[in-house]
Parts: sequence; structure tokens; C-alpha cells
Amino acid sequence: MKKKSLILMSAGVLFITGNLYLALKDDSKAVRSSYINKWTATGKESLTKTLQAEGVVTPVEEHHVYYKDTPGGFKNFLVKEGDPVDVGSPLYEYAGDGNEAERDKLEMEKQQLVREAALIDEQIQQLEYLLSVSESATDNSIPVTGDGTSDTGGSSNSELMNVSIEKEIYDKKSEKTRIQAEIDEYDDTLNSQDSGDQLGINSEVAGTVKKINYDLNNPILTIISDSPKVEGAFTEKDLKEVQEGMEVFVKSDLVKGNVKGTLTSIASYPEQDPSVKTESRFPYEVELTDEQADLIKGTHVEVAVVTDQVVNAATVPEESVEKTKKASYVYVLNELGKVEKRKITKGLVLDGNVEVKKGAKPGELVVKNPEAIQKAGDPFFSKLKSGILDKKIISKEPGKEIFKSIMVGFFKR
Amino acid sequence: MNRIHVLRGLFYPDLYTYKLRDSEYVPGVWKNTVMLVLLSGLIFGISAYFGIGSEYLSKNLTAVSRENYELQKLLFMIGQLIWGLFYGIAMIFIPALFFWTFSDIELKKFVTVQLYVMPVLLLEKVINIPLATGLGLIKTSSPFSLGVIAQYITNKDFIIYFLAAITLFKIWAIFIEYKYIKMLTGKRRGIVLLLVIGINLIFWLFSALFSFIQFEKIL
Repeated sequence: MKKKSLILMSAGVLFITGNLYLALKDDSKAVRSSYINKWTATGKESLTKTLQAEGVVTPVEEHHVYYKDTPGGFKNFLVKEGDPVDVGSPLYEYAGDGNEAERDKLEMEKQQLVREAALIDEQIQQLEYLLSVSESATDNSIPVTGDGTSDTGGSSNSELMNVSIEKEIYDKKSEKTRIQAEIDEYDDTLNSQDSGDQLGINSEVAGTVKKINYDLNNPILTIISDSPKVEGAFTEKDLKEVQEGMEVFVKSDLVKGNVKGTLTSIASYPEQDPSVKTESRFPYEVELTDEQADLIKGTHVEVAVVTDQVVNAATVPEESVEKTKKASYVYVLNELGKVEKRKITKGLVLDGNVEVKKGAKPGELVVKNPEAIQKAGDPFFSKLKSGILDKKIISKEPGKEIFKSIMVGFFKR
Repeated sequence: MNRIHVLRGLFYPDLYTYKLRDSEYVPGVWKNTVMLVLLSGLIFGISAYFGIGSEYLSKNLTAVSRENYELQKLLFMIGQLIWGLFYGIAMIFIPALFFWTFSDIELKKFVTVQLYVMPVLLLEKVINIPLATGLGLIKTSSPFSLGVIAQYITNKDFIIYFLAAITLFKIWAIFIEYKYIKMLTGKRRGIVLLLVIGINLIFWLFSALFSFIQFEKIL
């Protein structure tokens, strides 16, 4: 009897072991249903991969104002250090004295020329009068030539005299033209000196006066523009990932949210002399696109450089991706009620989220814990989560449907 | 002395068969029946709570809201719980009535026999829970059944379901029934085997039929 039961027992154990082997071996023909309780819908979101760096807010540009030595000399500054300036604001002025003396001299010279011109005008008028007289009375009058010699000749004599007067008028007119040209020249010089006074006095940029050199060493004025920039340095490792023109988010404890900017320059040479022992750091500059940002110059900020970005990407949690040496897979719970193994092309990986370039669409359900999958292509079932249910949903369902569902459950083997 | 000790009767059939045959009064039968029926409902309910057998609802997951999916599973569980109670009553009384019609012994004694069989059937149901959740081996692929082999030799669903219904636990149950019925009725070995295997064969066929029919499509 004991022997018999021993044989039976052994047969039973053998049967179970054989079945287990057949059911659990790879490519088994037996159906294996997966007990899955963690799944999530494939998301649709924008992934932004950033590189963190530190920076400090500095003025975007410094403008230097140079002083040009002029005959008049420097008079005084019209701004103080720290003063805000706009484009066109006066910064300093030249002293007037020496300059005015020169102007007076020029003015006097001009006036003399003007007087000369008036004199010539008078002479021309006199000559024209003489000409008209000699033409009307040719016989009974003695014409007088310009040089005062008298001529007692007949009509041929008076004709000759008329010609010489005309020549004289012509000469005077050309002299007047020359003088007039000289006067115009003086006018130009005087005018140009007027405008010359204004050069270098007005600001060309808007900003704040940072420094004034009262000893008049150039640059006598330094103006910093209002819109700040951010400066910092990248490590050698960072350098691989960053590129000029990349978008940047600047975060400061003093400002809510992020301030947008652009990585405008990365130095190609480290800030200190290269050394084997120390890591090289490469300065960079960020120009802020948001002009309204109230970043205080000199404050330290966090800089996040957007090194990679995908908009509206299909994303799955990193844990849902099964990796083999060759490829990555996700398990999709499909509309047939089966677990579908899908090969995916991975994109960006960020904060535990993986961008799926190919293999899963947004909205598709993926299994969060791939290790729970018994066999791809087979059905799955899940535990009842009564916490999700509430009375409303149950009361909304028609009684007939509820009865039907219970009946199906009743007969289900 | 003559109280039913379900588990002891289960493991020592030789001793208990005589006791059952010779006793005129068997106390605690109905109490134990009620207990086992309730236990059956409970076990089926727990199994359904884990979602075992609810694969037919899985295809709805993508179509309906999560709440609705859970509601369907809840209704499935209620159905299974009722089925468990029904199953308990059926598995105790149908064979008992069946054997009773072929003998002149009182029904209560056959009911008692089925009370020894019930724990075996319920034990199988309990063991199937970790097999399904842990290894994915649902009823058709249970290592205690012929289902695995069936899936290797045929694609015919009905045959697979039928063979999957035949398990080591059922064989154990048949063995208990055979021992007790033979002792109680004193009939010949062949007839007792025919009766016991016959009634179980009918159950397996029904089980296969229920698995085969997709009630969710009919109802």
C-alpha cells in the first residue's frame, strides 16, 4: 500500500513538473495571462533637456565716451555717476571763451569783406550812371574816363570811352563775386563751428552712468545699458553639449519664474591659462530676450541651457521600457485585451520620461512594470480597484446592464 | 464520535468510510454544508477580486473609462461570488442525489461524502490564485491539469477546456468518492467507477461548455 502511494505521489510530482516546464518554457504554447496592475497612458508632452550652470547678472554692454580736445576746452559734466541717461541726453559741455574769440575774429574778417562788397557795389552804380550819361550826350559833353584823362575826340572818341566803362563794370562785378564767395566761406566755417560744439556731448545710448573720469582721462564717461546679461563659465564637459544660439532659462531667487534668454557667445579659450591639473572653464554670455526682467546686476542666478527639446512628443515612463542589448521595448495593452510587445525607437530621456519616436502613440496604454508580463501576445487581467469607483458611476449604469454583467460573471469559467 | 471531521475524513478515507456506513445518525451535516457553501462563495469572490478569469473585460480597457472598467470588474466579482455559492451547493447535492438514486441509503450519507470532496475542489481553486497572479498560469494552463498538454496537441478550444477541467484534484475527488460510494453501497467496483467517473465527466463537459460559450457576447 505504501509503495503504491509512493508511486502515485512520484507520478503526480512528475506530472506537475512536466506541465510546469511545458507551460513556463520560452515559446510555450500554453496561454499565460499577465496580472497587470500598473499601466499608464502614453503621454503627449514637450520634453526639454537642460544643462545647469551658474551665472551672474552683468550689464549687457559698456559704452565709453571720449573727450576730444578743442580750442575752447572742457567746461563741465552735466551728469553724475549713477544718473540714468537716454539717447540724446547731454553729458558734458565745452567751455565757451576761447572759442568765442576765434568766432569774433572770423566775424570781423567777414564783416570787412561785406564792407568791401558794399564799396564795390557803389562803384558799379557810379560807373553805370556814367555810361548812361555818355550815351545820351555824345557831342556837347566831355566824357571822363575812369583814369581821369579827358578826350576831345568826336563820336569815335565817345564810343571808345563807353567800351572802357563797360569793361570797368565787368571787372568790378567779377571782384564782387569773388568777395561774395569768400563771405560764404566764412559763413560755412562759423556754422560748422556752431555744430562742432555739440559733438561728444550727447549720449548715444540709454543706460546708467557708471563712471566719470573727472581728471579728463579718456574715456571720460562710461555708460552701461539697462538690459542686463548673464555671464558664467562652462566646464569642459558642458562644452560638448552647448552651442551658441541655444535657448536659456535664467532663474533667480529674486524673480518669480524663469527669464528667457539666448546663449550668445561661448569663449573658445578658457578663462585661465590652461593647466593639466585644473579643469578649464570657458566663459559664456547670455543675452536676455525678456527686456522686462528685473534682474538685479551682480546677483547670482541659475542658468539652464536648453540643449535638446522635443515638442508634443509621445512619452512613456522610463520604467516601462524594457531594454535589451539590441533594442528597447514597451508593452502595450491593446484593444484586443492582449499584451502587445512593441519595439520602440527611443528619443530624449528626461526626468524618468522617455520620448518614443516610433512604437507608441499618445494615449496608448503601456505597462509600467514590464517584469509583470508573463507572455507577450497573451491576455491580461487586473485586480479590482474599488477605490476608483463611487456610487455615482454605479447608479448611472442601467439596472439591466448591471444584471447582464453579473450574469456574464456568473457563467464565466 | 460520529461528528463529521471534514479534513480527517478527507485524509483517512478507509477509517471514515466504516464510521459513516455504520453510524445511523450523522450530526453536523447541514451546518458543515452551509459552511462549505459560504466558503466556496468567499473563495470564488477572492479569486475574482484578483481579476482571475476577467480577461474578457480587458479589451474594454482602451474603449471605456477607467471607472467603467472597474465597475465591470466589480460586477464580474459579484457574479463569481454568486457562482461560488451555487457551485458549492451544486457540487455537494448533484453528485449526492445522483448516487442516492442508484442506492437505497439515505441522502444525508452521500451529502456527507460530498462534504469530504468539497475541500479538495476548493483547495484547487485557492491554489489557482497564486498560480495565476504569480506565474500567469490560469485555469487552462494549470500544471495540475491536462490543459497544458492539450494546448500542445490541439487548437480546438473545446477540447482544451475539457482537458483543462481534468485535474489532479479532480482525480483525488474521484478517488474519495469511489472509496466512500463503494463502501456505502457495496456495489461492484466497475459500477461504482462508472457512476463516479460518469458524474464527473458530465461536470467536465459542462465546465468546458461554459468556458467555450462566450456569454458576454450572448447576453
